[in-house]
Amino acid sequence: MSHTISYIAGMCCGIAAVFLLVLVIRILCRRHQSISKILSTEITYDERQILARGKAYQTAFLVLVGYVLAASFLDELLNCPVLMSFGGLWLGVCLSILVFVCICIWKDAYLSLQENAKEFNIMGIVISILNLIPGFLSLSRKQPFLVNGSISYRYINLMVGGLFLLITLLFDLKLIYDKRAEE
Amino acid sequence: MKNLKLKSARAAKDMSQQDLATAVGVSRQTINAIEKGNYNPTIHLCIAICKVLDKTLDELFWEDE
Repeated sequence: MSHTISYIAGMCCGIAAVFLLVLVIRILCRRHQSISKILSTEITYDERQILARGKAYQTAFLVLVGYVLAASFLDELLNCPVLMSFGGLWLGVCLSILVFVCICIWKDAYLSLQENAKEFNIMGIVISILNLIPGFLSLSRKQPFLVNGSISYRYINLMVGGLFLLITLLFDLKLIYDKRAEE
Repeated sequence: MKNLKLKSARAAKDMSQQDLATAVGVSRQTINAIEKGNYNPTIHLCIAICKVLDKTLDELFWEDE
């Protein structure tokens, strides 16, 4: 896989822009308390949620280990490198995140004490749309899903978009389930 | 085992699960889980609940045989 200098320079500029933005926000937060309050990132979970999240982390970690082992097994023993690429390993990361989030949602440990369902839904939908647009653009340009037998990195956006859409749907289904259980 | 003592003490104070949860700094689902017997709270949380409901630990969390 070879890229042009302009492509690599674009990637580097993008990463640098994100770091710069985070740095500026941090400096502004330190200097102005009002901005810090608006952009408050303080997240607290209660003791039951911390316990449930710990178990969810454990399960997600084991899923990721299993996925990496499966990817290595497929590559080394069966000579099938389908999962041994940036895109392939991202699929594993998405899978383990999905496991973690599913367990947290089911055990009511996903939202912190400061967050609410509306905020979560808006964030989930925005992130999924932002990722699905470039994902579908890759599809429309007929970029191959497999490059040299491995999953292409060009489909990462589609994976992440799908992941967030699924998480948002699961979250809303759990809300509906809880409301019906209360009735 | 369901904690009916907690539920009745909360009802006697005319508090919803959300009210109690906010008062002790946990989520509503945690109070719900304690009342349903699905979660054993730490002593720290038990004391916080007792203080809010004006009850002793024995009155709310000691299981009668």
